[in-house]
Amino acid sequence: MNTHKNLQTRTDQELIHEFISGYQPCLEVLIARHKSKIYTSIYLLVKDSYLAEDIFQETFIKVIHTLQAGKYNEEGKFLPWVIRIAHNLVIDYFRKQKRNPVITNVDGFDIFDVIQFYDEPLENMMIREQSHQDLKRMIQLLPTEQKEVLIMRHYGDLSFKEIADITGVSINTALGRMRYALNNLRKMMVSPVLVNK
Amino acid sequence: MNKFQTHQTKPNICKNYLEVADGHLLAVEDQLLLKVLKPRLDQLLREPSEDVLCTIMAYAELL
Repeated sequence: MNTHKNLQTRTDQELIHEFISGYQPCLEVLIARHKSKIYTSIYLLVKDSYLAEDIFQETFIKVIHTLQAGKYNEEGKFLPWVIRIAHNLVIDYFRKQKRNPVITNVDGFDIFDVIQFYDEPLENMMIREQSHQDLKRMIQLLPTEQKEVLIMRHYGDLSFKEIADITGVSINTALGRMRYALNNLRKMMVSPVLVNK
Repeated sequence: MNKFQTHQTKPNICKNYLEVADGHLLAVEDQLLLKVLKPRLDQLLREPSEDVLCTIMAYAELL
């Protein structure tokens, strides 16, 4: 007989097979294992905890349907697969809303096009440190395309090839978006304007 | 037997060079920044409410 403790040591793939065979606790373990990364990936894109929970729930309903229909075929890649479903649902939501909640621009977006830049006084070293702690706000300021690459790479552990596939761009574009995201984060980290907002 | 490695004897992992090289596609300074950001990004991790998790499990049991 399986116990939850035993299940913790199973791989994602083993848990999926047992869930498909009808053993429900395996799903619970799978969700517990990945819920933070999946939920955070959604939350950082939609910026609303209630909406993020709705999309998280919808994501797993799709996951359950797909698994039980025997259509899951991404062996050993459960998290990237779920992140892909969640990402598509986020995109669907924004399409339905016909609005974009964050600044969207071409890949060459520069955060200093929309914020004012001041030379940083030396005495603002502590403020700069504070800006490092405010990473969440900085991520929210990134254009959607850059933000999603950063999120999928870090929380979804996706390769750039997988990110490119999901977002429908070339690998070079996905890489370029990551570079722009990191460049913009660098700039924001030393910007007193953002810190004082 | 040929002791030298040829394209036919290369391990499978080398077939997909993009996957192998994936972590090295970014410039060194970008890789370093990502490394520095990692613990901070991990601190941003949030969890969905218990209600949502219960709803999902209840849904799974209904099917």
